[in-house]
Order: sequence, then structure tokens, then C-alpha cells
Amino acid sequence: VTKTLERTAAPPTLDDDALMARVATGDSQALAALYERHSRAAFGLTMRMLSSAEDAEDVLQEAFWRVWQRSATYQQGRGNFAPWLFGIVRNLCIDELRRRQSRPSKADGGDEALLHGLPDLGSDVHEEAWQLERRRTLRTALAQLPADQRQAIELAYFGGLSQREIAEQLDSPLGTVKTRIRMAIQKLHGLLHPRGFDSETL
Amino acid sequence: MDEEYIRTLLPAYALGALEAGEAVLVERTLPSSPALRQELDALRAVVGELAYAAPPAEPPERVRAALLTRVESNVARAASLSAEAAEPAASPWRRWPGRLATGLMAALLLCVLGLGGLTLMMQRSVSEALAVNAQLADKLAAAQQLLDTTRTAQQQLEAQIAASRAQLAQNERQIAQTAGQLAESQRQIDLLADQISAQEQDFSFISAPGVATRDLNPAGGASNAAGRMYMRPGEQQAVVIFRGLRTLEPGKVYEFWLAQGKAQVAVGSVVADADGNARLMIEAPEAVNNFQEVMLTVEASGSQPSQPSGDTVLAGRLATD
Repeated sequence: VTKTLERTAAPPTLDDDALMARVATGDSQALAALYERHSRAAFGLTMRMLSSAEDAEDVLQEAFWRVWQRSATYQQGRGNFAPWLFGIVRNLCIDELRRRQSRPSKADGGDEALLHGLPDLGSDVHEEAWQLERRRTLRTALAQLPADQRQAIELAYFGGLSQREIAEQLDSPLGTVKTRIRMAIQKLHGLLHPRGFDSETL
Repeated sequence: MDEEYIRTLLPAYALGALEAGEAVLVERTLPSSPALRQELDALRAVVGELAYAAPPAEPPERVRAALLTRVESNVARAASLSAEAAEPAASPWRRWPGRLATGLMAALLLCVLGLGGLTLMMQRSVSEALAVNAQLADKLAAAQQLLDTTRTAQQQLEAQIAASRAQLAQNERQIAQTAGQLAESQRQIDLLADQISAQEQDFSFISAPGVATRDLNPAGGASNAAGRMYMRPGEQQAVVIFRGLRTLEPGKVYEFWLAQGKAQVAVGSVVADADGNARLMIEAPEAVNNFQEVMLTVEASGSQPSQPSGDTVLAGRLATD
């Protein structure tokens, strides 16, 4: 296969699962389409976690390389490509953070960072509009959480910290941190589910 | 394992924030509970949404270019391996020199049909090998994922072990501190037991029949100090109770004396408590009623005087007139 891959927008008729099915057969153009669709969100996540453009670029490339390599293990038909991709990205970021052996004493931007960050529209207007709606919905849901719950999931998700590490960092009882995380995720689930952001429709 | 308890762990598990031990509990329970798996899928979708809380960022074009170059290289390598495997019968022909005899060529041509069949068989073998290769690649990817998970779990376990060791050291310090407090408490109990024993001894002496009392009065007249001596005629033992004794300056001590004519005998030092109270059990060299007078003086501590040399605080007469 020597064909040149052109920079193309994801075909609007193919959803993520359909593209992954093609990737599993060795279709590199399908991978390019998935990259076009999700690379900005994934790169935003890596920048948020690593605060280093160089490291973020390495992680982004490695994450999509693993998508290519592990396409056979992807579970089709459940509409969960984005969570799967972000899981790979996040694990790579956590590995990088542990390699640095220094954790951020406080997540950059603090708790309020979860509530802000407006995207600028890219070339794929349909996909960008959909992601913009997701961000607005998520921001509205996060705003309804108490600040201490937002802070706990901020440290867990973007800082890659365990509950015990969060308790130590915040100097709070472990049981309190566990309760905050459980209540925050359950409340987010309750807030996002009615808007269609769940495992059945994503 | 209680399914309800596992359900409480699912949010943190979906977030990847559980400690390794708790994560193992969840993973052991999930295979047998479709309900928990369904709930976990929903929570994972919620956690996946958190990525959208980060502002999106446009990655440099070089990332996409490097990725696709890497992918194309991978695809080309796989295709090259496939092509080489598919043409094993053709290449030997190109290497045959032209000087071979025509007869030999003709003989070899007779084998074409056989070689064609062999080629088809080899192509099938190559296809099967590629399929096996793909399966191995899948298994390798799964093993890599498992290795990542295991590595993360190991790091969490190491952190837990370090925390447990710190807790153990703290517990040992607390145990040592508690043991010290226990020893101090035991010492105070022993001291109280001694005091109770002494007070019981005093009480039995004071309350015995035939005991006579003698009062000791301030020698200077202005002091609040007072004393009372309990004695039994014909016996050498006596008990003296003091009250109102002032606290002495360092280096001074109260000394109690028995006097017989001009001879004076020191029979014991008196130590008052913070309220000025004191007791003294004395053992006189002969029957107490053989002495005429008693007195309490202030002496230099450690001096062991043969006769009173300091101020007299209390004095009293034993002989009845």
C-alpha cells in the first residue's frame, strides 16, 4: 500500500464505529478520519494534563498509534470510541506524569478550569458544533456540583491521582474524598443521562 | 462479595481513582454481574465526557504527518512481507543462468504444473500465516494493555505499602508513648498504695485504746502551724500530725526532736505537702513517755545535727504536770 493519505474530513455518513471497523481491516484513511474528528479534543486533554506541548504531541501520536494497533480489541456497536480513545490518552498522560515523579500540587487553573475553555470552531463544522454542545452541557452539569466535589474529580481525572493521594494532597479524610467522588460522578451521570450522554447513545 | 458494596466503588473505578486492592475486588465481581457491568459502562461514558472539560487545542500538522507516516510504513512493511511470501517460486527462475541446456529447461518445464500447485499451497500458507500474525498482534496489543494496567496497579500498591509503613512507624511510636504513660501510671498507683498503707498504719495507731494525745503549739506565737502527737505510755512508737507548715526555702528541712532533761534526740525529718500538712511516724530510742518535751525546728538539710540549731517552729510538753 503506497497510496498517499490526503487530509480529509470524516465522511459524515460514517460514524466512529464504522470507521473503527475499517481501521481494523488496515484502512489508514479511516484512522485519518478519526484523527480529524477527535484529535483536537484529545490534544486539549493532553495539554490540560501535561502542560507541555512537546509531551502532549508525543502522547497524541502514540494514542492514535495504539488505536491503529489495538483496533481489533475495540468493542464494536457500543458507540464508545471517544471514551475509549480518551482512556488511552489519559493512561499515557498518567504514565508520563509518574515518569516525571512530580505531581502538580494543584491542578492548573484550579477548580474553575473545569468550567471554562471555549472552543473555536474548526473546519468540520458539524462535528465541532456537536462537541461544542457537549462542552456546554458538561459545563452546565459541572457547575451544579459543589466546589469540593469538582476539585476531587479534577485531581482524579486530570491529575491522575488515586483517592488516597487526593486525600493526602487536600489533607482531608479518605472517606470524605471517596464520598465526594462517588456523589460527583453519580450526579454527573444523572445530569448528563437525560441529555443523551450515556453509553447507549454516545 | 456484597454487590451493593461493589456498586459504591464503581464511580471511583470508572474514574481510575481506586486503590489497587479495591480495583481487584471490582474486577473479580464484574464477570458475574451483568447489572454492575451495565452500570459501569454508563459511568465510564460519564467519565469519558470529562475530557471535554479541557479546552480543545489544534495539534500541529507534524503530529498528523508523523502518525500517518508511521501507519503507512507499517502497512507497507506488512504488504512487502506478504508479497515476498507470495512469490517464492518465481525468484529462482530469474537466477537461473542462460547457459543451462535446453534439455534441462524442457525437463524443468514439465514441473511447471507441479510448481503451480506448490505456489497455490504456499499462498494459502502465507494467508494462514498472516491471519495468525494478525491474531498474535491482537494478543500482543491486549498483553500491552494488561501490562499497562498491571504497572499502574503496581505503582499504586507501592504507594500503599509506603503509606502502611509510615502508619506502622507511627503506631510503634504511639505504643512506646502509651507504654511510658502506663509505667508512670503504675508508679503513681504504687505511690498511692504506699500512702494508703501509711495512713492505715497511722489510723490503726491513733484509734488504738490507751492512746494519749499531746498538742504542739507555735513557738513564736504568730504562726498558723499546729501539731498533735499520738503516743501510748510505755511504747517507743508515736505518730505526729502537722498542719499549717509553711513551705521551706531550698536547703532547709523540718526536724523533729525528743528532749529528756538537757539531752535532745532527732527522731525524723518532716516533709509538708503543698497544703502544709505532714505526718511523722517516730521510733524513739526508749519509751516515749520517758521524754518531757518535743519540738519541731528548721535545720539545714543533710546536716544531721546532734542538737537543735535552727528556729523552733512548734513545741510541746509530754509529761503531765
